[in-house]
Amino acid sequence: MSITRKDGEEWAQLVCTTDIDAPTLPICGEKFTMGRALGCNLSLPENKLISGQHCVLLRNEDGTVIVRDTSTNGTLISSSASKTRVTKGRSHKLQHGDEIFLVFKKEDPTKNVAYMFQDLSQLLDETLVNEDPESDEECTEEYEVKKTAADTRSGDTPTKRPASGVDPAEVGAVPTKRPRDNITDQGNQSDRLCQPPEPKSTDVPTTTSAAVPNAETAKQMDVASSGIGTATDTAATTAPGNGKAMGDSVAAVDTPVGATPGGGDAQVAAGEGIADNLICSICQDIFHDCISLQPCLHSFCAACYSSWMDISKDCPSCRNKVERISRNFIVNGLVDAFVKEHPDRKRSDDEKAEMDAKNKITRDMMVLSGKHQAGFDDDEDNEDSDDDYDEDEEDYNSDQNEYGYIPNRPNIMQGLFLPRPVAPVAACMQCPGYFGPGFDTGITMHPPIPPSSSAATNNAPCTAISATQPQTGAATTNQASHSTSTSSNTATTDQASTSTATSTGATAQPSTPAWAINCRGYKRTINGEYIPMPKVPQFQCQQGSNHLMCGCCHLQMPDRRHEYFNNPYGVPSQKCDVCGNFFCHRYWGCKKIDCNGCLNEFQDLHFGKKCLDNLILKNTYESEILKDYLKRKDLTWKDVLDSCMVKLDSGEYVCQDGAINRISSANVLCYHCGLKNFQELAYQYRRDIPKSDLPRQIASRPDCHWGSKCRTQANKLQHAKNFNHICEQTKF
Amino acid sequence: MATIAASRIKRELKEVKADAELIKDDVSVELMDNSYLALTGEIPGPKDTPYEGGTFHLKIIIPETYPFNPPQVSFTTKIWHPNISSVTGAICLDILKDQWAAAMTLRTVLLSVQALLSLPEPDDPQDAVVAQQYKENQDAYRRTARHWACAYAGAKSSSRELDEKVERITEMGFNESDARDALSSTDWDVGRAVEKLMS
Repeated sequence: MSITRKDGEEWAQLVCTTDIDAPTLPICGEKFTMGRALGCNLSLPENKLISGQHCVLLRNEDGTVIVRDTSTNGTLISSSASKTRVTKGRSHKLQHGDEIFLVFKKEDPTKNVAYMFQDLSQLLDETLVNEDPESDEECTEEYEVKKTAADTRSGDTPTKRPASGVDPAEVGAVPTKRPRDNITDQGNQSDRLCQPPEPKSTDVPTTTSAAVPNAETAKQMDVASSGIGTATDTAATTAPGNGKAMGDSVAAVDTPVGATPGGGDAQVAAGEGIADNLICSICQDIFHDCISLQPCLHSFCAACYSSWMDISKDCPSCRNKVERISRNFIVNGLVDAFVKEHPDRKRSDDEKAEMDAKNKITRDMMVLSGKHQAGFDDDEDNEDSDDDYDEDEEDYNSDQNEYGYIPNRPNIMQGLFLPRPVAPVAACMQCPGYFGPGFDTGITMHPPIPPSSSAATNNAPCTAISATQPQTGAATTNQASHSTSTSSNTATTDQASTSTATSTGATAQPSTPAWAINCRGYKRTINGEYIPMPKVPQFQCQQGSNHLMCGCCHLQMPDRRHEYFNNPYGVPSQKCDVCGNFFCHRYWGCKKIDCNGCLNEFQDLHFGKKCLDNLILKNTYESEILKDYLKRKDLTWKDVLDSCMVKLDSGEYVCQDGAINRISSANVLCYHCGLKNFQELAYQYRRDIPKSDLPRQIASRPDCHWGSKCRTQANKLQHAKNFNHICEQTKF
Repeated sequence: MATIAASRIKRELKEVKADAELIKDDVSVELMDNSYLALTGEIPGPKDTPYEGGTFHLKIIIPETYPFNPPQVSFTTKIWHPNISSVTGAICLDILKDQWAAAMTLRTVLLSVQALLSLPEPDDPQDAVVAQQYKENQDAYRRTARHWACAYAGAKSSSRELDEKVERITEMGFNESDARDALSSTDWDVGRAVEKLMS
């Protein structure tokens, strides 16, 4: 940085606020240029973010100072009350204490380059106010936080800032750097020039002695304590002391005494500015539990929007169609912070409770369609049903039902994400009124039972009854249904067809889904293997509640992740711990025909004997070796998995995802993540097979230089045959 | 819900009173009583319209379900406008009906009504007679609207000719406002107006 000095009297200075080591720059002439070019008064050639001629400070004949921007990126002028962006060709009136940002990067403040503009005459005034004999030594500190008149007025010893009250930052007391000699110089000058005024005050703090500069201080303090009305007086009396540079009204207004009430206003105004943006346009009050609509992103209180939702599905502000409603956590955080500062703006607890009661939006949700489609999910109501694992009460004994297929169900898949104009969408099998697709495999579905009959109890104990006859259930508690649910192969249904039971059961839970599955606990895969199917949790979706799409069968299931989060044992997991994708097998058994169980605990994942074909390093030959070995030892893939699980849990084996996510055998993984990790574990399993257990010609092969990382092994069978790849890489 | 209506009106009144633009335009809202459910509004006739110079009073009834339902706004000052009933003062404005949105406020409503005065929408009329006149005889509409603004809303510089016509009919013993209504709807044909009044 180079500074070109101009001759002439100094009238102002620039203090760098972003680089405390930078020297203070005196401004002498009427014009002061700043920029990257070497010809500028303030030249910053090394900063590429600054334009060649960035901006220029001009002093008019009447003493006002303006900054004119000549830059590409603009200049930001920050005063205590506001920030103003000055663009190319524009001018802005500069006040004492304003900060000029040549570079302003909101997201990276370290790049900022800013200078505070200080009118020397006004700086002197402030100095005089702040100086007192006790703190004289303070002037030796190079950086001093300016004390304000507010501090002085507070009656404390001026060196101490009151803990509460007006925040000094708000009244313009930004940390400034003040070269000491400069000030004393000016101070002396002012002493010479200024007729020391009569210390008329009687309420001068006793700590103030009668030294000349202090008389000035005392007077200022007196004025301060006697009220704002005399502020202009002060300015008038101090004006002569400020030399020729001053003497204009702008400066007079800006004397610290006058600035104090103004600063207070600025603070209030700043608060109001925030408040204006934290206002829900429906209730015109500060947000309570803010939600934002998508895609328009207008925000409202959840309770306010809940009420509007009943009237229209469009945004109350812009009438855009609302596709999704999400909590706005950022705004809620801002509101909390704001209310803490402005307790008077806080809503009363009663009001909040009332609003919470009106709120029908309990979490992010997709608005499907229709007036009342915006999803609500009453968490409380569903909690009772979380623990219920009930089987179907109807036992389908015939094989025809086992793999049966009921055609003629209208397929609603196409309507799941698209708004459907008329009836509410029943997205999944647990939605009320679901009249969904028959499945491709092993699952039989009942036609929906008319709603009139479904209001009965749904906690019917598991009593095996003839298949075709719906059973009238006795109302039981959740615990009862829990204990009975152990008889897994007896299907139970919760449907009770008689409406007489309503009084007993209706209070316990919402009515049960109008469907039932006969899965007999197992599903036959296309490879002819049987995989266990989970019991379907008893649950009914609220209208319009959120759904997750299974990444395997692409059918919807109720979104119950929050319940799982609260109670992992109550509800099956619906997502893979590693990739985070959603799958339905663990929830209610994926019905896709070639699904081997798309989501399960690692130890329970079913990979099938086919997985052995390509298990080791994607190297078919090595996989074949392992397969032969297992055959000789009469082991199956399951035995490999089991022993791998034991070693994974003990830490002997590691897999990449295991290292990152600390997965164990009990983690819920999707099939793909599971297989990937199983392959890694199987490699370690194969590595641990002693060479003596392998055929001699295999054990005697030389190691490939690339070891397990060899890329040729997967596609060149000859290479895979000739070299052993169950080894580390030796050539890099 | 009533609480939200009242508290919102309270805030909106403050907003209207603080809005520099509205103050400049002399748009104002006052409480009719202390219930916050009935208000009176005042808007000046917009410039370069026949309503210029007049001050029009509005009655604003806030429903209990406000802001989820629109306020009922009607003119209490008689006005000649295609979208405002010349008899009842009812306003035909979409945002006061099906296009209402909860984020709208008294301020936006008043501004919308004022905008409606500048831009009549004869294809969606409230007062069919006025709308027809507006479409078929734009000049007669302007003169009539001007006359009404002078007669009821305190605008200045009415057409002398129309005043005289009203006078002539009132001299026959008819009520002044009836006379004006009749004249207005007959394109200021005294003969037809009298005929209409007699029938």
